[in-house]
Amino acid sequence: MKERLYASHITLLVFMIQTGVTALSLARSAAMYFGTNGWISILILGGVASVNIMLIGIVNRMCGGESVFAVMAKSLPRFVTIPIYLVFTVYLALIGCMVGKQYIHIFQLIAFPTASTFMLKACFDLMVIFLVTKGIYNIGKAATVFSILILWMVFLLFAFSNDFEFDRMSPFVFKQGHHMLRGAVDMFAAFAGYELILFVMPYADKSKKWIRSVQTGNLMTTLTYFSFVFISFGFFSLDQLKIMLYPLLDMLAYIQLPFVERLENLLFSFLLFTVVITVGMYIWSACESAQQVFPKANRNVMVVFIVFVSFLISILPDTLFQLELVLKYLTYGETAFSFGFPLFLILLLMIQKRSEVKARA
Amino acid sequence: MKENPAPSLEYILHEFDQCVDLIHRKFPLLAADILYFDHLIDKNELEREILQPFANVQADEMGPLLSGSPFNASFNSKEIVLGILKGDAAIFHDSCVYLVALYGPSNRSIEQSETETVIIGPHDAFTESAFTNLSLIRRKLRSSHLKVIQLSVGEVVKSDVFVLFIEGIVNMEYVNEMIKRIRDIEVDIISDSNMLVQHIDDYPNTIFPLFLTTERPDVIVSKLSGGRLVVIMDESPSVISGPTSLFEFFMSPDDYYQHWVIGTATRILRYIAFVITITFTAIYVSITTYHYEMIPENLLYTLIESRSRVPFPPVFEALLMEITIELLREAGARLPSKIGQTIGIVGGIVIGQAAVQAGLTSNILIIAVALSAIASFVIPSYVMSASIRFVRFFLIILAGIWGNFGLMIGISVIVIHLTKLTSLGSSYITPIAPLKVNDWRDIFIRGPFWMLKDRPSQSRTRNKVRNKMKR
Repeated sequence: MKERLYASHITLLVFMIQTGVTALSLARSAAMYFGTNGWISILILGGVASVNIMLIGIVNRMCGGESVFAVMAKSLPRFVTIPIYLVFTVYLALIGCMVGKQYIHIFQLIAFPTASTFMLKACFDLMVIFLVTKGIYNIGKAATVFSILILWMVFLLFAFSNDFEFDRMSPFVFKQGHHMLRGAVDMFAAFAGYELILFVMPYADKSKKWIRSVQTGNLMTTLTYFSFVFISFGFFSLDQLKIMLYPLLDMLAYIQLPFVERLENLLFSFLLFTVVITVGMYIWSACESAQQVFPKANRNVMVVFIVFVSFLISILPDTLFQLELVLKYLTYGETAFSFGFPLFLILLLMIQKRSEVKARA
Repeated sequence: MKENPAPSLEYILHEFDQCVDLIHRKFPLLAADILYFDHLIDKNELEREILQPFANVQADEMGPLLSGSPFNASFNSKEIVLGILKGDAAIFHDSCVYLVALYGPSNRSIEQSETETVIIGPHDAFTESAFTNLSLIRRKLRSSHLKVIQLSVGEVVKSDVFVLFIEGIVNMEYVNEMIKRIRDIEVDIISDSNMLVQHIDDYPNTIFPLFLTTERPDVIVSKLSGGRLVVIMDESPSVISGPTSLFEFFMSPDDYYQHWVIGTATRILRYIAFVITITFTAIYVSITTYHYEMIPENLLYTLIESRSRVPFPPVFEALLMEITIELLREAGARLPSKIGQTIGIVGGIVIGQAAVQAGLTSNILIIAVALSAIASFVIPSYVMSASIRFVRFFLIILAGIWGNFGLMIGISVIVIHLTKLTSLGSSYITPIAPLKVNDWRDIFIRGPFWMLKDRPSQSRTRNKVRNKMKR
């Protein structure tokens, strides 16, 4: 009874990889870089990600769901691919560990000022090892359960229906913002992660629904971000948004129930589910890449080694500011990767097709 | 002596040497001997099938008599020994041996289940006799498609195991897998199906039950018709059903005997109980240790007043009370019911009240712990309820270490663990992963019968439709 990653798994996996702590500051970025009606930028960025996913879809169609490593191995000699795979491994593991560290830092900021980030991160990384060693099918299943555990949070937006004011909106679009292009690249980090689906291709259910399910996952992320950012624009004024570190958390802090308040603390804890899937998928992809270099290595040992080394690296950035700076540069590279790598694969596949045609002739 | 010599009275008597309960009756005029265990046979059957016919025949008529029914000739000593142990009488005549099935020891009569009670619906429960259990199932499921395969487990003591399924509905891959697992068992003795289930589990180290065990025939009939297979073990009142998902343990037959709205409400109540059991005390520990800001001002005064005299950190306070509750539960379960009630009163009221007055614990924690304990008993399956109570301790400790973060780490670990689990190779968290939204109408709610058209997807049956009615 062979397991497969069904379309629903892929959709929710993409949604879980994309959604992360960047969502907390997205409204601030939209206000800062795009200014009035900055929420529209979310739809534009979602559209850009969708175009990128189309490129991935083309790769998938051209190679028939084959592994990207197999595609590269067909055209490139091993002495060329090995350094590329090593770079992939290091880069993906690095992004994974920094995303995890960022979550831990924010948690420490809002709830545990005196706790040791070292211990919190070590505990978090143990959980990542526990997840990644279970394999991609179980990561997909875990993503499905976790997404159900956090999707209900969208309904919390109804709690702001009384405080939402259309008066806070403006008829002007994208005024009072600055560095729009740089901001767009920064904000695109919130959508990044879907490119990891390139590594999942050989494990997915071989159906045409595959790319549609990736698009649906991206659409879910876009709509979720859009609803949070849109409500934030109607809840806070533009100037308020610009100076708030995490507008979404501040907004959630307004929710009061008869027996519990300051819900942002608890709700932020729920984000752990999405962060663990995001980090887990980066580490899993890093392992996939490393496995090409060391095909005989024990997979579980490899996972432990990669997580351990990336844990040591994650100790280096001390403050949240330093960490976010490192992450910013890493995500620039990731954005370039998410567009460049599918294009590179399409090029390789075209060359392979042409040489096949020539060989047949 | 040879391991399996030709059957003879001497050999069989040697095998049962020092077994005073073995009855050896001699019929010198007929040149016949009978061996049997008095307590394993039905004496009326013995009288009717053997003693009366023997009284009415001469020595030369024995041959024709023994060639007919119910006398079965046996030429294997091991088979004869096993037959006597199973309640057969062995007749030795003219160097031939015949077995007559007379099994009929006194059994517990069919009674109400004490662990799985329902308010409405049938009240009969399985007994220790596999044949009585088979009869209870056959009476409710009168179909020639209900197939029964007999196997045996145990190297030293062979116990009968029956695999039941409905042909045409069950996926035979599951049946073959189950038969293979039962045949692969190499243990000296398995005395109960709850032990058997631990030998056929996909993951023996998990604390979650991977097969549903029940004492209720109506549950088993519904599982069989849903495309599951069933395993009955002789001398055990618990019957196994598989493949199983986590959510099946939250279903009760009552849900189907009541109106669907009431059934749905009760089922949702059980899921709420599940959440309360797992998290309530842990949330108390988390909030009172690290996140006081989450408590509204009015409630905060009460809480602080309640906790002001308690000298321990909340995690110790909570563990102390949780362990006390577990002690009370265990003591109540081991004692006769009348004394058990007294234990409940002494524990619940006296110790609880005294603990608060002595300043060992706060009132609010007593409420939290009691609520968690009550909620755990709402879960219909005792085995699942015990697993969940165990998990609760893990979450309380994590909440005591890292507050909400620890709580979420704990929940994540449980979810990741659950994703790995399978029952007979199918996902344990079906229908969430793989996502089968159609199944949700009979898992998270108890939809009206017109809505429950298909068999559960976990059964992987080809015969999917079970209800063709429009309403």
